[in-house]
Amino acid sequence: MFTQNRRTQSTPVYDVVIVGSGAAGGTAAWVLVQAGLRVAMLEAGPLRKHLVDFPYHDPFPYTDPYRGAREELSKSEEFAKKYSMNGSTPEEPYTTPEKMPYQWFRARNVGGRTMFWGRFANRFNEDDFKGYSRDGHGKDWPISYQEISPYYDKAEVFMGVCGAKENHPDLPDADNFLPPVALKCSDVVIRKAADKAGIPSIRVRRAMLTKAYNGYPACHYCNGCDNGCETHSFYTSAFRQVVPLMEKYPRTFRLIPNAMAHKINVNAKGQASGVSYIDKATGRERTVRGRVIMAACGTLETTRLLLHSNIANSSGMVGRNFLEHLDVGAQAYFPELFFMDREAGDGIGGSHIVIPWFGYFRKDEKRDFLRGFQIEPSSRIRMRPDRNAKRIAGFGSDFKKEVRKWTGARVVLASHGEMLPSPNKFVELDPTVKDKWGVPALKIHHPLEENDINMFKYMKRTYEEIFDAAKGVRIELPDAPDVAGHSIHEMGTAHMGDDPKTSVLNRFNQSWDVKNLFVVDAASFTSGTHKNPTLMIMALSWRASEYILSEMKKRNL
Amino acid sequence: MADEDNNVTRRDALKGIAVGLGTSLPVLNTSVLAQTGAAQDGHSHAQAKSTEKKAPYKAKFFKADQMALIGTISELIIPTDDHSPGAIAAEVPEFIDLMISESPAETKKLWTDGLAAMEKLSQTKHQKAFNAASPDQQTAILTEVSKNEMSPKTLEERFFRAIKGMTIDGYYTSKIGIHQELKYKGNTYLKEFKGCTHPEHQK
Ligand SMILES: Cc1cc2nc3c(=O)[nH]c(=O)nc-3n(C[C@H](O)[C@H](O)[C@H](O)COP(=O)(O)OP(=O)(O)OC[C@H]3O[C@@H](n4cnc5c(N)ncnc54)[C@H](O)[C@@H]3O)c2cc1C
Ligand code: SF4
Repeated sequence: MFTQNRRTQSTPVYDVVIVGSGAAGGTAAWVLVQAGLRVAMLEAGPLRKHLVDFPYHDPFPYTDPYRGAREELSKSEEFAKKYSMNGSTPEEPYTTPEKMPYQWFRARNVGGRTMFWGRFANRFNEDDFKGYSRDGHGKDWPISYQEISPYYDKAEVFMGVCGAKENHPDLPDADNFLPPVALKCSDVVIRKAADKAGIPSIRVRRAMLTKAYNGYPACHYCNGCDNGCETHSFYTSAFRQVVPLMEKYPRTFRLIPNAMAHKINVNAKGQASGVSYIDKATGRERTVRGRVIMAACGTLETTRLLLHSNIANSSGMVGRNFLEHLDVGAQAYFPELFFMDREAGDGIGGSHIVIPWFGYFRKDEKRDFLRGFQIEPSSRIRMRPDRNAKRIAGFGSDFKKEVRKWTGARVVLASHGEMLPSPNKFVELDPTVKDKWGVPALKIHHPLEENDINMFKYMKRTYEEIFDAAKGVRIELPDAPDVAGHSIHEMGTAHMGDDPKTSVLNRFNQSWDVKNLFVVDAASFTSGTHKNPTLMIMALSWRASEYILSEMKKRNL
Repeated sequence: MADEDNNVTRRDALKGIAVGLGTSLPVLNTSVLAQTGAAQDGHSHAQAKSTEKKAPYKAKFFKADQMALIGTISELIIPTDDHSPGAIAAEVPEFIDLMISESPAETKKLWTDGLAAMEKLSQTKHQKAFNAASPDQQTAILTEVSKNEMSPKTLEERFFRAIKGMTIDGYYTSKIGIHQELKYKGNTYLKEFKGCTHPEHQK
């Protein structure tokens, strides 16, 4: 059983306390609990019940006499509101300097933001670990691609990631892809246009089951992933890690939901001893004790927890090195997709292809920005007309035809671009604003800087090239990048490095200052790259967990 | 809805679920499935197939002649053609009646005045009730009142805009509009995804 706490006898001391149940926390629990450790997991949100707390397939509008005009039939927004916060809220506010908006999307449920994610699972390549060596900006990671690659394998094999070997210089292949998903008409046409513009695309890699896998059914192509998946055919940490662990290991794994951690406690020896949290149901403060503490609150919440606990910050770098992705979107209608045959359906929804950074094919090009970006093109088959039919003039068969013509022909290009660290991009505790429980809110500083603006212009030109190649019409190009935070990829605010003086964590996600404290979410990233972060989060969390196991064996922890 | 063959039932789709750890998910025990299954099936394609005969619709707000006129005009806006059935088959007039019956007085007035104005227009132009006029004559009237549809000014123009909007709302949310006209295949259980099978796209 549990190690008994000498003072109170009744309070167990867990081997590991994990704060946060998203990709980072779920993966750590998966590794540690199955290895035999006793683990407690604190999660600020509730456990959503499968088949109950989800909208899943939406009712068709014709099942309602009002056709959804009186009351929203799709419950997805209602559920999203219940289990996430898109922006600052009165209960859990954050602040930004004037004229520097930041849209922070936070989840509040077991599973964190994996309950909402887009499931793109892309590997960093060797260059991504060596930004500083390549161009003198930011820092190199303390680890190499070779070191992380086996953990990419583990995360991919665990989740099931569809895709194919493509030999693209920007996106290393995995050994264990599930079958790639067939291309939609729109993918074929977008790919042709991109090819014409000299921009190669590859089949998408997403954590979605294109065949039955590890006891989970294959995707049934319902086109409703935003509502949650009834068959768990895409990875969420809640249903693929946390709930199965609760079922199989009720004695050694304890989920504590609705528990808002606000302080990591430190003992006289300078070691973390446990975590204080607020039981949101009662408003009472409680403490859970552990030999090892893992922070996995989703980067910025982790950062707030560290700052408020006033630990692990001898380098002064907690909250600094704040990295995001530069998000830029555009759309057009492609004539080749007019009157599209929509019989096949929408496949896995969104992109079936992706355009990795193509700078590798433009070696001689002189660019006025550093680093690169990835384009996620998509064209959806939706229930309703794509163009607002009320804005289409006329009536009769011709009108019907005109509506059909545009439906399915809309193409959206959206990019994530790498951003450089800057002293102007950081988070800190707000001196006055506090959350409902009296814990200081974060103040988020995220200005656009020159490299970002130049990359934005280049992205726009790239979109124009692709749209031109497709003879696109009704082209809409953005005047500015999406509001900061739009990518929902916050990274870097407690980064790993080789030097305790300039970094927060060592190469195993372990705090330099507090040896039994680990940060396993994207706060640990040294650089942001232009890749979706979650696969990397899982690989790092998996690796850190194995390190904890081996250090415990050696009695170093 | 063409091609039901590619659909699997919800039961089939869920059948395979067991967990990587080799036990059954607590959330997927049969009682939960049984409970929620019924509710969820109501959302599935199976339900949409039901062929129950419905009693004839009893209008809540409009009089019979007004309903007939709404039927004619909405059908002119979205007609039955060789591609799919139109507004009447999609029960657009019923939808309009229900919506207007619960709308503010101002909206109701726009509709009753608008319908009367359409009748009057038909009398002045063709000396016939709208519904007695020939399709060409009816089309001519709609062509006239739709001239300024993006910035309507006269009563007839504003009415056209209103009925076109409601026809669109009703039609593209109907079984016919979604499945037959726009051939939407999602929001249900499909066995496979074939992808693009069009040589013209591939070339
Ligand atoms: C719409 C959307 C699309 C996305 N698409 C992609 C994609 O395609 N590919 C990709 O790689 N990534 C994507 N992401 C991002 C991805 O979801 C995150 O990278 C990932 O979930 C991060 O995992 P995490 O464990 O670090 O944090 P989270 O998933 O955010 O989980 C953190 C958890 O910690 C809890 N928590 C926070 N603070 C506390 C506290 N003080 N005490 C207790 N618990 C706390 C939160 O409630 C939350 O449940 C997307 C995100 C969204 C929202
Ligand atoms: S499209 Fe596939 S993965 Fe998405 S919700 Fe439907 S079955 Fe699940």
